[in-house]
Formats: sequence, structure tokens, C-alpha cells
Amino acid sequence: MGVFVNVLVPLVFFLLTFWFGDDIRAGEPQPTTSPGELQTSDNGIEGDPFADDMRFSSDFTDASEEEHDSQSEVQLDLHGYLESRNRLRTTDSEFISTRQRLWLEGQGGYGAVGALGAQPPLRGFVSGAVDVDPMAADLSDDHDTARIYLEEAFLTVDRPGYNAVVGRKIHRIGTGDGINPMDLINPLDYRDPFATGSSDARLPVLLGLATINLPVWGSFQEANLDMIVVPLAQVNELNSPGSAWEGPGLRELRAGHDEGHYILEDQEEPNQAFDQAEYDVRLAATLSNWDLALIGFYGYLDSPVFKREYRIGWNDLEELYITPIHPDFCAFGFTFAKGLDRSTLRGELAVKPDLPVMMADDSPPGYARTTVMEGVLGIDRTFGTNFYVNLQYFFTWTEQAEDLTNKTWSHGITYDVHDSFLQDDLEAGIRGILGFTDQGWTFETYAEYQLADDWLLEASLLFFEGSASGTYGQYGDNDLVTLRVRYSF
Amino acid sequence: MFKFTTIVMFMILMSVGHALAEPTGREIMIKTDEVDNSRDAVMSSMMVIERGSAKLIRRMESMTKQYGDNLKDERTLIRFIEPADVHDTAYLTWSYDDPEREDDMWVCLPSESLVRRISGGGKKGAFMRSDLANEDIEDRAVDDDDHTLKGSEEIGGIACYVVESVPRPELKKDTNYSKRVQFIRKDIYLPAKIDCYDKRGKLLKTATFGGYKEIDGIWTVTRFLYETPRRKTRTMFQRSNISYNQGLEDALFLQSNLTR
Repeated sequence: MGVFVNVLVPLVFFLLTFWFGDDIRAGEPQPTTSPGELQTSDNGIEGDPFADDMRFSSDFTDASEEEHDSQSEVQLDLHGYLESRNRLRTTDSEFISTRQRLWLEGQGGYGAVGALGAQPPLRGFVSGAVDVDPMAADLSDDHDTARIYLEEAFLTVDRPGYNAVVGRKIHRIGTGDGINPMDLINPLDYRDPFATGSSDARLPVLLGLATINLPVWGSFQEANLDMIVVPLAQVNELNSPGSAWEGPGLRELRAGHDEGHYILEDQEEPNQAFDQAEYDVRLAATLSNWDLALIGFYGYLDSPVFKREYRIGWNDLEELYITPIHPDFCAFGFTFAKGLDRSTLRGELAVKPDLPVMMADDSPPGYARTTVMEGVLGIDRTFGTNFYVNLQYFFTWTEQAEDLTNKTWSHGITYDVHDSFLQDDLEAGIRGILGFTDQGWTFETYAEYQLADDWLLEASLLFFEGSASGTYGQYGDNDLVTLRVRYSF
Repeated sequence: MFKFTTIVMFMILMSVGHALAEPTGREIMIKTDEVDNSRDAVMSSMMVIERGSAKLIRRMESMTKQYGDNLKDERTLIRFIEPADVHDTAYLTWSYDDPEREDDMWVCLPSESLVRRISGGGKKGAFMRSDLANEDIEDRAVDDDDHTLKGSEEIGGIACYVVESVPRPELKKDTNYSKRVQFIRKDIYLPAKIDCYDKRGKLLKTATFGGYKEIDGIWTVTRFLYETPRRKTRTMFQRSNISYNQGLEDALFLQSNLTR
């Protein structure tokens, strides 16, 4: 028995190992080089087609192979683009903008980085631009022929469990596309209000933002509390006379002033820092493919309402004064986004009690306060490889609207449908907003072509249509052809 | 004594026979999946996309951490460095081994400081205009496919298992491929080559793997090449600065970490 165990079993295994050695050793790496065959890398093995680096050309040297220094104390980065964007108004064949832009943005970090891809604990970001837009400057005082400006500039402190941001920043809120009832921090970019046919453009504000990671339990996977303070509320500027974005309502109001029917005063914007601050609190959680958030906001109306007031003038006569003002209000909201198969469901609901609402009668304009509910419910989905469809239904419900001569319900949809072509170099599609209750509509057809890595060519045709008093119909004379060329660096 | 010897010899031969029996396709793919047994990983990646004489360069940094009881769930953060127009765009994915559970995916658009949930519907689309589809860079669960061992073949002088992987019927709509024929090296259980077939059963693209390195005790593919013969394009992908088991914090894989 002892002979069997000590001799026979090892012998059998030796023979089997000899016969089927390749298979039995299959689990073990072979860190040897076969003479005359493929080379091995430092700690590589035979049969490596890329070990000799012949097929991987010199493109991969330098940046990708450099040793990443995760203990680096200071990191700096500079990027930007050069862009020519030209907008031709089709109704009168006049260029309303020939903007030539140099955009620069830089970011830096300080402090040891825990891992590659992680960010330094102290970071700074600055962006700014030089815009030259002679055609827009010819139209109105909204634009200077040349303008140098700071866009965003903020510092971020990132610590385990929380981070804080202080500076001038765009911080958008919401899960929907196109219309976000609780996105109330950043005012509209009055010089260029439409980023696309279905989305607006915003301006940065000076703010402080703190995000605290909350402990999670059960099905909760992440929970955060965001707190935002804007020390001085920033609001939408009224467009200057002659601007392409001066709506007919504002134009008529100015005409009434010029004809002496009333006195239209300058826009009263918040100007008392901290006394006219805005506050936003957002409690967000993720669980079981759901992103949920509760939001509270106190601040100032971005779009002005017009206060009517009779005063005794210099000639002892009672005169009507109309003043664009931005009253305060508060809002409470709920947002969600849900991954569902190949789609994403998005929704937002906002309640704005005592919201200042313009009265839509024929008398000189005024406003009243009432409760308004706004909501968005939408879905986006990719069909096939790249065919993307995004539809979002939105509504506004106004309490006691009949007293304000507004509609109780107004609603519509935003849409974005696009596909990719030419090996994904070309994206083309349509997007816009369709109001069902006299808001009017926008329709944009566009094509973006990416040439190599750095060049972007875009052409688009944007239509506005509808009633002159409608949100979108008021720009009915602004159908635009846009040509844009951008070089990124 | 003779009876005892016969029984022992029979048992030995049975056990050796079992050891020499070909594994199933699924067993091979489980072993392949288990090669990277790290808890977390960080790396830089670079792609060179060749389209005729034109070359597109992409660079990104990524972090991955395993979760769940069996460490099969995964969270990945990818931050793009190049090209310039997507600099600092970050993608966060929480993927689950349970094929019934949808992945969570978010993208951060730095210009708007907005973290936005996106769906996995774009899996079939090209990854950054390369020859890789988004599904090619995802962590694909073993049981997302039915695997069949088709035999053995030498690739570059190395013995490989040939495994045919066909998507499960309910997942066919989410993939570009009717099947993938995977050539898995028998020595380190990493792929040497994958042939991807389109829905009509024709060869769509070929992936060749190499740059094998043992890093922190884990055999790793550091280079691969995707070629699409019909389009006459190819994408070379290289991973560098790889390190495993760095003890990455959970906070790195939260949405609140996406903004700049």
C-alpha cells in the first residue's frame, strides 16, 4: 500500500502531466519568449501581437504612457474654442448676429489626488470670452461691437462627505428637457435667449453651493442635500429697443410711453445684496433606478411683471407709471428620472403659491398674485443604433385664472428627434416646442458635422410661429438661418 | 489487494479524466470573468481612430469599483480629457450583475453643471465615434449570453478556446451582434481575438487583444485593436497607468462627484 501511494500515484500523474502537459498547465502563465517568435513585453507572455509595438504606432507615446503622478500638488489645464456664428433673419434677409468668439477656460487643482481620475480637493475654474458682433451691435444696445467678459469663475472645496462651491456659476436644476419649472437660479441670457429650438440659454450668477452626502440605508443608494445661496438675485434683463429679441408686447409698451399715454420706468432689479438673496434647497436620493428630489426655493421672479401706479406728476395731474419689477416668491417642487429599459422617464412638478402673474387684459398691464402649478412629464429613447426621440409634455395651471383673464390651463410639448450618419460624424434632426394653448411654436431643423477632432460645422433653420402675444409666437419675425463653425483646442 | 488497487486506479483515472475533460463555454467565460478579481481599478485610456488618412484621438481616465455580495456589481466613472470639445464630460455607470436589473447611468455636462440620468438605449451606438460600440466597453455579465465551446484553435502560436457567445433572446434587441466568437487564451484566460457578427450573421468587426501584463498580480489586456473591414476603419485602444486595489472611496462613484 505504501509503495502504491508513494510511487505509483506520483508516477501516474507524472506520465499524465507529460502527455497532456499543455492542457494541465493551461491555468499557468508562460512568461517566456519563444525563440524567433513574438517578443514579450516587460512582464508579458508569448503570443502577444502588440508586444513589439509595431501596430501601435507612435500615436501612443508621451501622454498615454507618461507616469501619472497621483501625488501632484498643482494641476493646471487650459482649453477653449474659436467660433464664428452667424444668424440671418429670413423675413428681411438681415443678419441679426455675426458673432466671432474666442472662448477660453482654465482650471486648476491643488492637493494630493487619491487616485487617477479623482479630482484634487481644492479646484478653481475660470472661463471667459472675447465676442465681436458688429451686426447685433448695430441693432440695439444689448450688444457691444466687441466685448470681453468673464463667464464663470468659481472655487470648489471637495472633502469626503461634502463639497462647497463659491463663485460665479451656472447651476441648472431639473430632470426634464427644455422646460424645467424649478430651474430658477440662473437668469435668461437676454442677448441670446434661445440656445436651440427647444432650450434656452442662461447666465451665471454669484452663488455659494454646498452639497452634503447623507448616510443611506435600505434601498437608498445615494442621498445628497444641496443648499444654494445667491447673495443678490439676478433677473432677466429687458431687451433694448431694436433688439431682435424685443418682443412686440415690450415694443408696444415703449411706443405707448413715447406717445405719452403713460410713463414707462426703468426696470427695477434687485440691488440689495443679502436683503434680496435667493435660496434653494434640494434633497435628492437615488434608489432602484429612480432619481428623486424635493426642492424648495425662495427668490425673485426672473421675468419682470409690470406694476401699475397712478402718481401726481409735476403738472399736478395724475399720471400712470408702469414699472417692470421682480417680486419675490417661493416655489416647492418634486423631480424624478427613471431608467426604464432603453428609455428614461423624466418628470417635474412645481407649486408656486402667490406667484406674481401678468394680467392679460387690454388695459395698461399689471399683475396679481395667484397659485400656479407647473409640470413636465417626458420620455426619451434611443431606437436602433442612434435614432433618438425625446418628447416632454408640459403644463401650467393657474388658480383663479378667469379673474386674471389668463387661461387656467396652458400646455404643450418639447421635442427632439435626431440620428447620426457618416460614421457618426454627422448628426441631423429636428427639435422645438409646440404650444397647444396660444403660446405658438418653434421648429428647428439642424445638422452638425464633426470634422476630425477639432472642427464643428453646424447649419440650422429655426422657425417661430403663432400669436404675437404668445411666448414663442412673439418672435414670429425672427425665423433664422444659423451657420456656425467652431475650432476647439 | 487487487480489488483495492483497481478501485484506487479507477478513482484516479476518473479524477484525471474529469480534469482533462473540456470545460463548457460558460465555465470558460466565468474563468475569463474572474481573471480580474480586483476590488477596484484605475487607469488612463487612449484611443486612436484611423479613418483613411485621418486620425481621431481620444483620452480618458476611468475608475472602477466592485460592489455587491459577490463583487459582481460594478460602478465606473469615466472622465474625458480629449478631444477638447468634450473635456471634463463625465459618465457614471452603476451596472448590476443581475440581468433583470437596469443599469444606472448619468452624464455630467460641465457647461451646465447638470447631472443628467441617461438610458442604456445607446449601447449599440459607437463609443466616441470609434469602431467600438458602447456595449464593447461595458462590463458584460457572463449570463447575458449563451456560451458554447466550439473547439480549440491556435492564435499567434497560443492555444485558445473558441467560444461562441450568443445573446440571450430577451437581450438581442440591445446588441449589435447576433453572436461573438471569442478566442480565449488557455494560459491566462484572457481573449486573444473576438469576431463580432452582425444581425445577418456576417462578420462585422474583429477585435485583437494583446499587451498582456501582469499588474498587481492580475493579468490584464492593455492594448486592443478593433477593425471594421466594411468601413475600412480601425481603432487602437491602449490602457496605461493601471493599478488595482487602491482602496478607492465610495464617494468617488456618486453623482455628487461628477461636477467640476
